Amino acid sequence: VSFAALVAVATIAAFAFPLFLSACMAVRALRPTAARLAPWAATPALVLAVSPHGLGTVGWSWALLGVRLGSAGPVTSGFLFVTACLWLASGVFARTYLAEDPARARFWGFFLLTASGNLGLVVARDVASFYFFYVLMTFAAYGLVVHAGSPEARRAGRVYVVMALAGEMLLLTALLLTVRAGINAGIEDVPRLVAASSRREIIAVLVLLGFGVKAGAPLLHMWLPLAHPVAPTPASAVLSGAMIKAGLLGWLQFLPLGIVALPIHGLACVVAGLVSAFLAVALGLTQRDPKTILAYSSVSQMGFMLATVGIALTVREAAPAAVLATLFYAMNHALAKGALFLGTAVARATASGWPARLVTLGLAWLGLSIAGAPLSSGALAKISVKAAAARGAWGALPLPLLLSLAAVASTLIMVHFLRQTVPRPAERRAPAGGLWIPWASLLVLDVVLLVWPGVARAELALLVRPDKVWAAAWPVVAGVVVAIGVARLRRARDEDGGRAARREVPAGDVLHVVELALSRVRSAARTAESSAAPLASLPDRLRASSALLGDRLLGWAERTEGALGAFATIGLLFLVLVFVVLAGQTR
Amino acid sequence: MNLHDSLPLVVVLTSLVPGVVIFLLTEEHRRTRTALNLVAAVAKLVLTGYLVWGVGRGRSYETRIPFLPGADLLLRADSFSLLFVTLSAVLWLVTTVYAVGYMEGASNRSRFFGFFSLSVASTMGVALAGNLLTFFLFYEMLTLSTYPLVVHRGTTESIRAGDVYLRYTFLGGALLLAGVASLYALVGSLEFTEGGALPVEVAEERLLLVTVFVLLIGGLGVKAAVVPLHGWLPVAMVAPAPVSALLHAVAVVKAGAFGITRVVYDVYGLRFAHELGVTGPLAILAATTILYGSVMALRQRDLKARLAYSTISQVSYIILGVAVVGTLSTIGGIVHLVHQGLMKITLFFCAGNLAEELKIHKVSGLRGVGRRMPWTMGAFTLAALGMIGVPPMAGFVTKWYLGIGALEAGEPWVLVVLVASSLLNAAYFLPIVYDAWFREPGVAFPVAGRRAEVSLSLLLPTLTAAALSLAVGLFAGHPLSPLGWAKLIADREFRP
Repeated sequence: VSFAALVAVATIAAFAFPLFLSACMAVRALRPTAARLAPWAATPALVLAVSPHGLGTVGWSWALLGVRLGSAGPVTSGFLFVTACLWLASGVFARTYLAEDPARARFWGFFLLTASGNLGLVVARDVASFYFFYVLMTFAAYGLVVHAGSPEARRAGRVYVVMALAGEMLLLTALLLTVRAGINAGIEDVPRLVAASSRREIIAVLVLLGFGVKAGAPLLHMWLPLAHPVAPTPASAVLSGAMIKAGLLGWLQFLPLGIVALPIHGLACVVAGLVSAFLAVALGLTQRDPKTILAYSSVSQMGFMLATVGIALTVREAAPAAVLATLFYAMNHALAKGALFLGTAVARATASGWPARLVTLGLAWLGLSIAGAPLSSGALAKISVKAAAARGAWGALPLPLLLSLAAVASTLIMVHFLRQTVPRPAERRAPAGGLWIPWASLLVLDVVLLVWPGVARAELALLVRPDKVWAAAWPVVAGVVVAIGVARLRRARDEDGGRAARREVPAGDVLHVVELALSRVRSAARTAESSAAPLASLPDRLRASSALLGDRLLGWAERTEGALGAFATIGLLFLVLVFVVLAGQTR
Repeated sequence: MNLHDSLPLVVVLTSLVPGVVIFLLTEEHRRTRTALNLVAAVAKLVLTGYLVWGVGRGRSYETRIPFLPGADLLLRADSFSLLFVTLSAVLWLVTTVYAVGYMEGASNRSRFFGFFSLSVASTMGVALAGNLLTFFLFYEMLTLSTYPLVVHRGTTESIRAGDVYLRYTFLGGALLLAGVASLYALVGSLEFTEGGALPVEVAEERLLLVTVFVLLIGGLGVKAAVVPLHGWLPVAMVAPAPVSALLHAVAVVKAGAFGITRVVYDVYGLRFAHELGVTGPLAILAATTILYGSVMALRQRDLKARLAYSTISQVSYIILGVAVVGTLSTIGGIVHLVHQGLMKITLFFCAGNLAEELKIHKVSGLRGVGRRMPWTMGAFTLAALGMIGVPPMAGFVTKWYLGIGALEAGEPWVLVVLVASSLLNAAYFLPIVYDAWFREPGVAFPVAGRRAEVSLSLLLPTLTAAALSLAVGLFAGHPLSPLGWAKLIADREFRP
């Protein structure tokens, strides 16, 4: 058996093994075996990710619209590596975490299906297969979001599915506009096709918005702080670590980066990304639930990555460096954020003594890595982003400074998270191995990510250069100082005059406003129908009339339908009309 | 007439003869009836397979019987007719098995299965018709043979539904006859010809040709349930489940859509129709129907009614694909003939299973039903996702081709219609899927008296249909998939 054949098998098994296991979960007799293997479902993908690449692709022209799979190129192998690691760690974690859950069979079914979609979309080398795996992941993840069955989970599920569907439709439109009469296209050809299209501006907008839903781009992020926290912890880890990156991977693969510059789109991305990086932190700071805080932190971090994609879109020459920077940033964030999510449960299972200290230390390190503290993978990620940014001229926009300030914000939210999470002394116990081992593995992986072959030696050297160390250190120090200062102030105020009520922005922020507006419209419609009382303000009247109009239209459609059922009218009219015309003709 | 040339006639007769024989059997001859049905259905399937093989290799089969002066009865197996014949043959077998299980213990089963076979024979005739006259004859025969199926239960409601059905279809028949007769008067008998059958010298009679086109489409549009001629379809829902499946997935609505395709491509010719300016309005009509059907489906509380409106919407995808001028949209349209058939028959089988086993008719009664009937709801979920256009189901392939075809033809507005329709489909199917799988049952369901969740003669056809609607999408790239065959048709016959 040749090496190439082994790689081909691993490529297929990367998505097929989890898919097969999830099918087995449906059959009662196979369920115990499948459940035992389920935690290890991502193993073939990991094997593929660490094996040498460049061995071409496997494909079947008869499947779907011509399936091609492969894992060549730094972007694919990098994403595949972290995705597989996260699914593996979460799988092992879930085995212990959900050991007592009565609905764990259903959880595993959806978990495996989602894994298959997520791993498959990374190895997909043609547009149609990519879309298939992407949709598979989206729909299957719904089962993870609503797993708890609580009203919050259901609400999160509803919001998730509505927004995901909208995103999918934008994406479908973008893909159709891209492939055109070719029916299907190789992923590697997509940037060129988009660049050559006369509608490339529209395509780029659709791609940015379509994947933006998954990647938590600002205003499209509403589902994220709802859905990520309600899912069981191992599912949150993959949602916020791996699946959110599928949107980013989409941006990297479907935008014409490095071929044409789209400065308007690019600048919009940079601005939106930076806004997101700050605003999500501000919103996250009002939260209490550690997982919600982490979800907002994810939105903020994805803002960084969106800004980097924006850099690549704006400056054609900066694109290769920006893509690699985004890639490394994404890998670091995936591992660290996955570990942080798992860490919330590890911390809860740990009480005091040296395990608690170790867990605190680990979580603190992860927080520092996200914030970009010196010598961490996060620092390297931020250095490469700044290096890419330096290749473009940003006019009045002080981009490097803003990025550093965003790092201050990252530090703030991480401190806030740690305050809400670190183990508090209660009873003496240590977490089960099934929980802390996968958590610690991700932690270690995040540290050793620095020696990942995609990182150049020269870049590693940058990490210890004094000016870079300072550039990485001051935002973190500033963040910690501000956090401590705020905490002191608050404590002083609390001691002064009792606890002032703290404001908490409802998770999902903008969504709350939208829902409020919708319910106002509905109640206005009810008022307008029930009472003839004149409505005072113009907005009230507008709301009422728009709601009434909607009701009237539907009512009208229904009445037409009734009239058609009676038939006599329309059919005869039509017949008469046609014969009149015909008679006029034949004369 | 040699044996090869009589094959199209034999295909029709394999359902016609058993139908007649079944009428002669008494109610008690259950085994004979079932055996006869199954043998005929399998024989037809084998025969169809042989024809597909032959046509795939470039042969053609033609039965010609003198009928009127200057107008023969013509049955011809070309690649497009075989697409419809194969679909009908496969689904006839599946539906027969289902119907045998579903009608277990019902009265008047001889009458039921007799007319059932007759309507399949008519569908075969519609598919194989080689000219407008033959098409019209079988089209009317289809009306007559499906009416007894609609009113089979004999309740006041079903008699009323039958009345509505007859009024609509006879009106359609009248319009169609007027159209066929006008064309006959103008140019004589017209055999379906690739690229259009109209001779060049009549091309000047534009207004007349437009009028005739409206007549033909009006007549065919009744069966294809194009808005505003769709009123019969939701009413006909009172029929037993296998009949609804047959009406909605295979025979009746498809006969209409198939006929419209024939008229556009093989009578007028796509280029000429486009030049006459009739394809644009047809596309708008189809788009309206797609959206209107979906919106109405959203409002339905009854499961079968929701499926009926969904049919109205989905069948117009075929018409839309035909009316948008371009090869890729044509492929998308004609392949949906098969795709919609497979997905919709799955959904109706599921609705039948739910009604038969748990007496569930309302959408609201589906809460938690996934745990009681996992296989049925699994099939339902697959088919519903396919309707939304989720890959790798059949519906995805259709949408992909229709979307690209619309862009190729320079009509990007079609994309908006497709996206809106997908979202509406999601809005009326996903809540059902959610209720079935993720909610607790409102009432305790009766426990199954056997090992399977519902009797196997109902479950197996359901699963087969679901597996087929998955397979045709998953293996769409294979030359023998419906998509592969549709490409062959577009390549051979429907070059615009």
